[in-house]
Amino acid sequence: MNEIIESLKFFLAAFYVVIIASASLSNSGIFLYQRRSLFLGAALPQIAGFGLLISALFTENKIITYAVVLVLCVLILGWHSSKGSVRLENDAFIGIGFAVSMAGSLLIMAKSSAETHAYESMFKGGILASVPKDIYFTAAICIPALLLLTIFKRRLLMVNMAPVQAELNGLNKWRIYEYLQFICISATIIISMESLGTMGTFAFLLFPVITLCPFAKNANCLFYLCPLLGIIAGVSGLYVSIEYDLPAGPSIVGVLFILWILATILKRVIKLR
Amino acid sequence: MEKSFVSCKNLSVGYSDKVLIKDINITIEKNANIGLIGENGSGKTTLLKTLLGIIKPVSGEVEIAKNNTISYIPQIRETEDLLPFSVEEILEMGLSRQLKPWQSALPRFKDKFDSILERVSLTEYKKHLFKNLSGGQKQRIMLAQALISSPEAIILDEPTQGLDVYQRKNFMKLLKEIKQEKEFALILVSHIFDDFKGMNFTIYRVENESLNQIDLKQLGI
Repeated sequence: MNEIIESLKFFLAAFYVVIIASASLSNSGIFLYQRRSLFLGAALPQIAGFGLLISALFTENKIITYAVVLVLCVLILGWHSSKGSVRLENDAFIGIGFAVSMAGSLLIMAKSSAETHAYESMFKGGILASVPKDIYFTAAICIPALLLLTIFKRRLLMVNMAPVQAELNGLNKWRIYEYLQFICISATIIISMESLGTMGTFAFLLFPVITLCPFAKNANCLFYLCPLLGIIAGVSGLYVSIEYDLPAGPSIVGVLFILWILATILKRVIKLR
Repeated sequence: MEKSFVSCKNLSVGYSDKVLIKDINITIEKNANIGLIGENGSGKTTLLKTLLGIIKPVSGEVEIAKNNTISYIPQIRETEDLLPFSVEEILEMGLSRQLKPWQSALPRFKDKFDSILERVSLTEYKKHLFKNLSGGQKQRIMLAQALISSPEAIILDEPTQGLDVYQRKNFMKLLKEIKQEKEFALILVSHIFDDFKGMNFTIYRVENESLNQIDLKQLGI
């Protein structure tokens, strides 16, 4: 028992990081789900990873690198949701984004210097190697994003659900609330990638909201329950990973998947009764 | 301009590469009932959005009365949402302009919620999920959401599209009653000519890139 406690203490920073990132990503997933852009969440971490790799070729300054990729992600989300005449179908957009950025990332990593190899962890996730600096870095981005999305949720939900009415109410002048969402979601994704990897990041965007939606009595309760489920799954996954010496990202995804399966069965049972 | 809610002169609407309707000269009074008909893709929604200042006109002038609250009720399929909104949450959204982002509508607006839901005969559905309601009930909730901010104008874009005949009749009956009780400009876009019955509508048809006023008799009403 003492051994387990000691090893958990050793990974304390990882637990803090996963708690903050999972809560923030689960919250962001609600908005992506409402905008029917959840699968964009699969392409976006991949695109962001590609962007980080390209930026790393030009600068070693992490903040500049992250800022450049944030702008890139926000522009992609903004362009994707605008009603321009060259708008691509959702599936095509996601497919192109995913394939091109993954191929590009692998090409750069294959042919570049050692610095960019550090970014390899971005695709796998390096949560177990978290240090206190990672907690501060994750908290500095994810907590403000989570708070902004929560405080402005009614307006953001309205902009997504009834864009014309929102515009008539003066709530979306210059698409301000749309871009607020894009910035918060993109920043959360980019910052979470280093610890959770692209797979883990996408899983937290997807699973909590689809697991809890069938049980929710209203949309508001999702904003409490999704982060809670994200935290439970993140902490459990990390514990399983440490206890059984498994990779952290897949362990977390496994827990999220099991919770979703259990919820689906429970919903069926409730329906049959 | 005092009595009118919107007026336009030599207005052309469309997009930079395509004009959909040109030379529009109309004035919509503050308590008017305006009906808009036309084929799909003729530019009715683009015209509405231009009149409301959401889309810039291709040319000409639009003058909209300032500080007016305008409510918009879209087609039923546009209100489909993946999230489980309760009826109360849908009504609360209608008050987004009045409420600070962090303020809750309850308990401050509880009485208003109750009276509006009573008016649309859906009091017992307050806690229900919006997505579980029938099409007609959903549109009545959208009407309640539109009314909750006491608007100067309500725009309905094919609100009865997809409703069965009973739901459609009930919705239009309710709209007619509310229009008699409250003062607001009503702009109704519909393909169902019966929707314009009994409310003294001034009807405009979008046809061949122009907007023409027509008589109800021309529609066989």
